[in-house]
Amino acid sequence: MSDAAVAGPEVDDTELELAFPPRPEYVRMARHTVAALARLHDAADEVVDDLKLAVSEACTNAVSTNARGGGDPVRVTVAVTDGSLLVDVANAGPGIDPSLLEHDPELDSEEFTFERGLSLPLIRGLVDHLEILPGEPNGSVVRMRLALAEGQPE
Amino acid sequence: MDLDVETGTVGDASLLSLRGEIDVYTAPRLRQAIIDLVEGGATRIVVDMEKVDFLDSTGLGVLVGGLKRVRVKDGSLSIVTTQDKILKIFDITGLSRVFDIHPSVDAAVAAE
Repeated sequence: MSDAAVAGPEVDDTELELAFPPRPEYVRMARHTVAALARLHDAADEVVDDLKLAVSEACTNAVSTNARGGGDPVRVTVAVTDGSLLVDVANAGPGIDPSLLEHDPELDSEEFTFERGLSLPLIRGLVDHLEILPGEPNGSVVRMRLALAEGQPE
Repeated sequence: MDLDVETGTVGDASLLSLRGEIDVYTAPRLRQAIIDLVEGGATRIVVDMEKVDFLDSTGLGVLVGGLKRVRVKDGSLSIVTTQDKILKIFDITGLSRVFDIHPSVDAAVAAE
């Protein structure tokens, strides 16, 4: 797999664009829609499960961020390139601190201070590649790549 | 599919049987069910997730919150599932080391 698959979707590869209100009830619709696209490409069941959860986590973050901000819609874009799904979830708020990518949740069974900190570590554990990019004109984009077939791509 | 939450008892434990999807929209219902049980005096809670199709970090947070609530009363909150996709989520987040996870309700009730 070349680096080109990570660099970004060509416009022609985009197969799905969603924009939905930043309300919790819409997150389910978003993950099921993206899952349906993955099934259209014969994604393995395990990949569909991982995709649903990763998309749901990113959308939940975006819903929370946008609802606190101006109520801008959450935008999801999915491209299919080189046997991988490339999913962008854009939020319009102050964005996600990229340093959180390096954050490991503190697993202290007595303290449980990490209730709200499980989302990005979970996404990182599910997808083949994760990036957080600056959004346009503001906010940030959570970019996730998953191979359609089971197993890690090279 | 939405989320159904059923409350019952099995042995000396309270049983929460969940069916459907646990996400940011439905997790508050699970949180309330756990709070109701604890406020009703339950200290031993078994959460049956065998029929849960989807679980996210919001749901995990609610379960962790429930565990905190019963732990201060020397109680327990255990999980029942054999589903790989659910077990995987507990594994990735490290919560499989925090929760007692059992393959059946009977096994959860028998454990102490």
